[in-house]
Amino acid sequence: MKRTALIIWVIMLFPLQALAGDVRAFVDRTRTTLNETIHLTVSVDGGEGSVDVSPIKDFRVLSQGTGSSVQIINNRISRKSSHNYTLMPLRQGRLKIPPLTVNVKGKPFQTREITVIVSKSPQKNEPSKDVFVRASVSKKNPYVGQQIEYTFKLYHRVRIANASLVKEPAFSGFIAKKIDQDNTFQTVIDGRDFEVTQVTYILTPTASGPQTIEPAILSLDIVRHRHRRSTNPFDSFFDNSFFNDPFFGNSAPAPATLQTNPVSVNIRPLPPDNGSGVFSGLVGRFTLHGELGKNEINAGDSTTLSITVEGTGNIMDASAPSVNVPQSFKVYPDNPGQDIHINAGGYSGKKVFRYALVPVKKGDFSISSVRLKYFDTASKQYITLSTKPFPLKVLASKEASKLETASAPAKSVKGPKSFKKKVAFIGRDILPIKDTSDVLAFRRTLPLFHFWLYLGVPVLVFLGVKFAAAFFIKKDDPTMVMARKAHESLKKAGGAPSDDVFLSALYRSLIYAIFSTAGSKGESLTRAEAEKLLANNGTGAETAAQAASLLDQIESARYGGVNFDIHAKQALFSETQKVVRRLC
Amino acid sequence: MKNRILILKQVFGCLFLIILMTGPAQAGVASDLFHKGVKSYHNGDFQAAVSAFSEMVHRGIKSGKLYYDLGNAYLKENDVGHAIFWYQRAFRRIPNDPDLKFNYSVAQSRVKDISPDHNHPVLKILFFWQYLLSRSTLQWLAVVLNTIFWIVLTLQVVLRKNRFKWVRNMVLPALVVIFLTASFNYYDDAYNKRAVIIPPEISVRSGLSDNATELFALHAGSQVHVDKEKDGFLKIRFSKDKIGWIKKTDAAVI
Repeated sequence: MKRTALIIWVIMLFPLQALAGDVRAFVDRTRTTLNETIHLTVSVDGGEGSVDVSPIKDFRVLSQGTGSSVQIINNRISRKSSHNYTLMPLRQGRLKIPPLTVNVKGKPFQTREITVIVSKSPQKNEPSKDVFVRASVSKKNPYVGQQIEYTFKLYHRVRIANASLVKEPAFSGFIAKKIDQDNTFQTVIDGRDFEVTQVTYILTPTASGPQTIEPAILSLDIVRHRHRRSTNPFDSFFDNSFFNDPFFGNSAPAPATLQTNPVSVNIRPLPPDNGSGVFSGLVGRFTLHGELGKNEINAGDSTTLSITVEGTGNIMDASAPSVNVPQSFKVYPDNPGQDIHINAGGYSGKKVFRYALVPVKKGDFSISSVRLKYFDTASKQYITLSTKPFPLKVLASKEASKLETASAPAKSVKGPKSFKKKVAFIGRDILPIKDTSDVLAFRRTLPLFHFWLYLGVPVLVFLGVKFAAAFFIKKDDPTMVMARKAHESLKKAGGAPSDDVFLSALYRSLIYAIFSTAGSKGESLTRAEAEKLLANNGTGAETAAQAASLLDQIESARYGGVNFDIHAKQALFSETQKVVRRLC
Repeated sequence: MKNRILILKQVFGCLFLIILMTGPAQAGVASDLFHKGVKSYHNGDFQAAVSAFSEMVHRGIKSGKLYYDLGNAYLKENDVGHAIFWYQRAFRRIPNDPDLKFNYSVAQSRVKDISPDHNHPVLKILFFWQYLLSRSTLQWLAVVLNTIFWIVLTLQVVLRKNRFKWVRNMVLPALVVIFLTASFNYYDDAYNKRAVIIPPEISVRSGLSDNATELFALHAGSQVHVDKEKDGFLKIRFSKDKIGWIKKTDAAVI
């Protein structure tokens, strides 16, 4: 019974063992230091697989690609693929590579756990190695905006090949610019000769505070001799550097990955600026130079003021310095020219700002000196540079007469170019409150009912008066009687069939109107009587004269036998109508 | 009967005294509040200025300049919604005040929503008096012109002469225009209500509940037409195609 059970157990276990043997993980060594790397290989027998390395937390993992091979043993073909990784320990101690899941044809397999003992890196012993890297900065405590150099150096005294920076530092907290040309030189450390390859970055700190530049990681192949034990006398001939080349198969390249030490930088803020003037933002060492194109020009002509900022530092950030010119000048800034280059010392060069100055009045002027305030990293203080003032003599314009004409209001005259500019807001705020006592005074709005009431009262008063007038004023009142007769006669004249009737009606209408103003009754008046009546009753002199004149005209036509055409008739009627309406 | 008359006399006497006493007292309190508000404003204590000016408004001071000051204090407090609200109220009383126009434009520049322009420039030209004279000025002007017109007519009846006709002819067109404008303002106040959004951001929803679908969002200072009021909600119209419901507490009706 026991034997049967054992056989079944072995049969069940066999496939598992076979599968476990298909996938395995191994490292090149299990003891290393913090600055060294180890190589992890995950091999899959019998096909391709995908490896999940995310469980590895104690190491930084860099993939080095995959490889595959085919083997024929006893007429059986087997295929094998391997996944290569470079692992960099993140701390010292007993670090573990946990079981990794490998997916082969949809089936998951797991590798075994591997333990790696990581000890502290023997920094001081680096020179004892044949290949090592170092990173350093030119200044550990720079100011914000001050340029520093970050140098990566590869030391080697053995042949290397395929060296490349696998991972450049992120340079967080800096603006980094790599200098294109790598530098190679020889140096001696502890009596040993090294060849050094140097890569330099220019870093500009953007904010104050401590910053750590992460390690740079370099991968390369170290080419070592194959030690052949041979008594062949020609071996010594082939044992030289030329034939040791891998091409001749006399040397074997060994892949290696190196990383630099992290570099700490403490960035200092710029000291407070207590002086006068506006800080330009430039940090470094600079000079300022100014030049005026012409010292004597005509009004309306232009001359160029050139301001050159030159030096080492963040020269590319230099902005146009302000130029104060007299009121009678117009300033037109031009695009700045620049000649900036980068080398091991950082950015350096110059920026030239040009301004076209156009005087509009003649006279002797002086353009104020131009100032530039920057932070000097050598003296660690703010320094204000200044140009000399620029004297400028402005002569009368050749087109002086046109200038004068242009100031006249006549728009049709074409004057010189206008220098007016649209006024723009510099700041934005509200106007102050109203703090006078009239703030308390206000007029109440009328409620709708009151509004209609106030509108209605005068109407009611009018209607009341009208009613009273109709009730109390006598119907035979001469004023009213004569006024009514005047309007009736006027109406009769409008529809008169003949000239005689027309003129007679007009005459009566006018006479009745004049009597109406006097408050008396009558049928006829002379011109003198009419003028007297009108004058005595307060009628305006102009209206009185017009009425008298009209009376003359009507009587002359009436008794003189004048023949009217339709237009003259209409004109006389209109004029009479106006006077009558004015009188009553 | 005599007793009743005596009691009535006493009551009216007391009322008269109360009116006499409270009038100057109210004026004194308002003056104190105003000086307090102005002082707070100048000292940068805008919250205190808002309190003082608001108290004045609650006490019945309906001055356009006071509304302007209140708008200023709110704007300094970065309360754009209330600032626009009080500037709008001030416009009804001092529509042609240059300071008010300037500060209103500053406040408007801080409003996040682009508002459809309801006041077409052509209308501003055609009805320029509407933008020059306050509502109360238009009302009183209509009353005065109307009175002059009917006095002239009455004089003509009394004097039985057609005098002052030129006065009547000049007054009549002005009276018609001003009367119609004042009447339109009454109609506008009664049936065309507008409101200003007060909180920094609100949701305009499809119905009268907080769970209704959010149609769009409005921000402080945006002005809307109020079409309807129901169950603590306002049906508002921001533009032709943007209509929805908001909580009544989220807007101040001008």
